[in-house]
Amino acid sequence: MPKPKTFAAADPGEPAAYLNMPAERRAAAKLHAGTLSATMRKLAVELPLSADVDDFRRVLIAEAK
Amino acid sequence: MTAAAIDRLDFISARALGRAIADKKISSVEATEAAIQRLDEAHKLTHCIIAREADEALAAARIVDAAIAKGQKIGPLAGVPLAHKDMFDRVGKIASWGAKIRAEKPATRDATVIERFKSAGAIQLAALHLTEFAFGPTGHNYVLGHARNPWDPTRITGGSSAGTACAVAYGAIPAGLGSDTAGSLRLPAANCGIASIKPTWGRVSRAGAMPLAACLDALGVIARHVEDLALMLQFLAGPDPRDASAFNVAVPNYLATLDTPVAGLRVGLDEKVAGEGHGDVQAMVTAVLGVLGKAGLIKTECRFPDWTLLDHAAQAMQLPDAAAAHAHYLTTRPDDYGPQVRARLEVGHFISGVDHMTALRARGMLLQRTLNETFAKCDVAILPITADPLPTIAELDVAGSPAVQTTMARVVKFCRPISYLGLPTLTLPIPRSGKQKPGGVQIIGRPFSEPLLLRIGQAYQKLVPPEIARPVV
Repeated sequence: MPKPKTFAAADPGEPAAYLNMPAERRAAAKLHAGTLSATMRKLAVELPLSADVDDFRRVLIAEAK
Repeated sequence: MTAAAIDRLDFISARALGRAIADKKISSVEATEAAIQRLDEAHKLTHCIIAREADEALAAARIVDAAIAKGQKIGPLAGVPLAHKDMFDRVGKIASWGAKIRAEKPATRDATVIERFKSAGAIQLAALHLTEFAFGPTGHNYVLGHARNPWDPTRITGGSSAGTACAVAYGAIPAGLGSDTAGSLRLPAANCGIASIKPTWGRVSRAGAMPLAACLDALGVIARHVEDLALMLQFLAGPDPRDASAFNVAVPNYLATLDTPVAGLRVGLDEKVAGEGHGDVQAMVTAVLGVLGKAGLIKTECRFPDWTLLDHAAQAMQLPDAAAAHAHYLTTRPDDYGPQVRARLEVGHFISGVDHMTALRARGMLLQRTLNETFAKCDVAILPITADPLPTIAELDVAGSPAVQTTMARVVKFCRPISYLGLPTLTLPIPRSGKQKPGGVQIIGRPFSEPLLLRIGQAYQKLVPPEIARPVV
């Protein structure tokens, strides 16, 4: 059985430092998450404090009636 | 039913075949033997089979034939040979999930959708190809081998329900089950030139199905004939004590309304969103709109909420959801994943809990906005499914490279936002001629508008009949 490839350990302070992944993939993952985060911050601005994860189901069910 | 129709067992619908078997015009054993032969041919061309179950299927067919001979009551799909994506629990079996990592023990109960197919009398010939853990929109599988398109084996099938689409398009089976988290029922159906229904999120129970991202996963059907989508959704839809997310909403009679006229219905096109696709893909939408116009539908404009926002919200939901499901194995057995799924699962670990929750909390608001604004002046909407016309397997062979996220984002760009909204979609194949490559578009409806989508699909197929896929190159 081939020995699993081990990549250089990430700085313990890095997100997901526990994952065994190469530096360039780690950088790409951080970049992608950063892009999504920027959009989610914009979305959060227009989201009322009362917004609830169950709103989605409520809208679906209301549509069924 | 005519003798000639029975001669075309590759083309016949499941509904018609069920009737022919019930009427003793053909036995289930005959239909099953012929389907096994066609499925083997399809596999040689497309790599669509993961587990071939011919002996079990023939044994089940003999039981159906005996029941019919005795005059016993049978279900609407009694003796009809089908095959499904290999991600559903079945008693005594371990589903492959398209992966090296699998459940440790055989299932002790069938998935609800499998139970319901069995209750209808259907026979399962095989477990079919899927991309690893259903997490891939192209049909590439770096663990079990890539699926190949039956129209051109150098090209992708689309994923993740690749095997079902290949087998249906080739005419091996009339229909089969798939799942859709971000396009997995739509992309393979479109790329293989057939139809599919992705029901409203929560319309069909997911109990016993391998989860990818539960907040988005929807089970549905791929078929050549829209009437089969209606027939199968009829017994798949509805509440299930085993799945709290399966809505307790009355199931309409999909078949009863299938031939209700569609003239005067309005189909909205968001030209800004559709314009982000390749010119050939935009032409597919125009071609389908032309057919729908002949059926009496009226084209209107519509505008979806910010498409990039919807897509990013879908990712902020999906990636951590999938990453959480795989967290244990990704840290303890990372080398047992193919490179692409591994790279995509890793990204979920980099998305913050706040961003994940923002996407979840905003979902109701964005769905309500879509219903109020996008569907204000149309009954259904139309969009492309694929961003580019049928790429080759080599062109999209990015494995786990840093480009994987952007490449896959392009592939699912028209599908993932609709999954976020939980809306039902019907895939319709384009009107094709000569050696033209297959393609498809999605008709999108309001929640629980499956009867309307199926009516439109039925009207469309009266003008653009289903085709059987054979290599065109």
